[in-house]
Amino acid sequence: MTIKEQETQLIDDFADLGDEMLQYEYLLNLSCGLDILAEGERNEANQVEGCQSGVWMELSKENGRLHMRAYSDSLIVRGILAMIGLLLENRRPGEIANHRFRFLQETFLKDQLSAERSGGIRSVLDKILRFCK
Amino acid sequence: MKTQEELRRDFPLLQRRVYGRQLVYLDNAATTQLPGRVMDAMCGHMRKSNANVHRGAYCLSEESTRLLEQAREKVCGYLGAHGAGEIVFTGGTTDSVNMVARGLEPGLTEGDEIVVSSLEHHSNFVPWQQLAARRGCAFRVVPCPDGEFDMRAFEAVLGETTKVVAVASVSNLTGSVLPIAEITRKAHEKGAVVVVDGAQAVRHRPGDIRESGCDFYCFSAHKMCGCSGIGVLYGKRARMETLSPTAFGGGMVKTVTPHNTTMEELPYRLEAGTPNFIGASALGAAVDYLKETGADEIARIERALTAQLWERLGAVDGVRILGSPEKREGIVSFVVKGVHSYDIAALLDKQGVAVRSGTHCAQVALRELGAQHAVRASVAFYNTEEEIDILCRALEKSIRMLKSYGGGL
Repeated sequence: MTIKEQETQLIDDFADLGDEMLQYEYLLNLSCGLDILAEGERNEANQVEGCQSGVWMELSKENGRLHMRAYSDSLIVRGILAMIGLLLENRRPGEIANHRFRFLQETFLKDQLSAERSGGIRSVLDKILRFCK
Repeated sequence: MKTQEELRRDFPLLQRRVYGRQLVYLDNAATTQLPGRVMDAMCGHMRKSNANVHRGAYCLSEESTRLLEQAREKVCGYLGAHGAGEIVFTGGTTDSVNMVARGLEPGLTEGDEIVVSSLEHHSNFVPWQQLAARRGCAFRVVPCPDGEFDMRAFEAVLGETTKVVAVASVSNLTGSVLPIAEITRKAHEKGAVVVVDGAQAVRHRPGDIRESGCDFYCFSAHKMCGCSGIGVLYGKRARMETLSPTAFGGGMVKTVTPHNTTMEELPYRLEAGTPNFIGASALGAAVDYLKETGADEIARIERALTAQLWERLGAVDGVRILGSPEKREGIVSFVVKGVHSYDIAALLDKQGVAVRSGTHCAQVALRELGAQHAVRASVAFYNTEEEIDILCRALEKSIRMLKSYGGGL
């Protein structure tokens, strides 16, 4: 499955839930799947600028494929990081660099995240795209 | 006297539903809702009398000017000020405080001291901090352990070189009521000017100025059922006369020549440019509404709701309320162990409950209270006990859900 196809499936999964509380619950459930960055590694070098709730992310390549570990103080933001991880884990950087993310605009997150928080998530995506280029 | 139901019907927005549920609006410290008649006053002004003020010799301009100046008189009466010259329309509390800070600046020199409390909103903290830095003044922050102003610490810092004391009447984070009368009295003994941030108090403590004798009082219309974009700087006449204008242009000058400009009398010389005359109409109507509802009745309702809020929130498992002041009005902020405030506020929103999360422009106060962020619930006289119950049930559900997925922190 391509990133685009997987992202479409994720967007549809959220839409099928309908009720906003159920969508949040789904997001919180996803947060459990995030590869957590250990406390000792949540340092300035790994911190993503522009995130209100504190986001730390470490990106690496193994056998030419991306690995991501991350953390946020907010469980909702961890859920969003987990979504990103779900889409990108083990993919080739070239494929990621060519992808344009839609989930921020096409899921309930569009109306839920403030401009500042959306900006924070975009900072996360920008950091990933820079790493992959 | 109106019933609570009748009172609520005065506010059109309170009938709204969000996510299929009745809206429970508990972010009144951020902004209050407008009664229909305040909106009518704004629309009426725009529909029938929209014209620039103080400038035209035609009917519309005179009507518009009259509405603006009537609003000024109403605010003057509401606050117990001595005359319209003591009431300056500004852009809001932040604008008012900055106006005072900049206006007092020429009179401050190196070695002078400016004193604030640790509970201050950034708008009554940063302007003074920056002013102190510019003029080489000492900047003293009076601690407020557990949300209570430390009077002894204040007395210890107060001295002959203290020139300005700036404090809130009510903290926007903890709801703590600061003893501004006593603070003013002690500050005046040392010859200091007292500037009070009345943003969180003006709706239910209109007697602040009379009772405290403070020199300046700043507030925003949108926290007393008016609209955003307008506020007031009150200043004792003698003190206002000493304020240097900080903005220059039309409306605040008498004569202008290439070599010299003479300024208008108060309050106009502190109101450069076109004032927010529509906002002033709204503010005047808001004052009328609050007076008719009754200051004592508003205070009674809000104190009862605050007490209930404090009691019910304190009973929710995991909740730590920030601050234990002897007197608290309107506001209760809290943290939940192991859960981020943003997560709580986001889930409450989905259940129809509007509260605020974050640092509340009070980072110094938050740190002193041992928190990095908090959820804040704030009531107004149109809220109900039932809404507080809804908040607490929704909060319990949110905490359960978040903790079942690991909590977060």
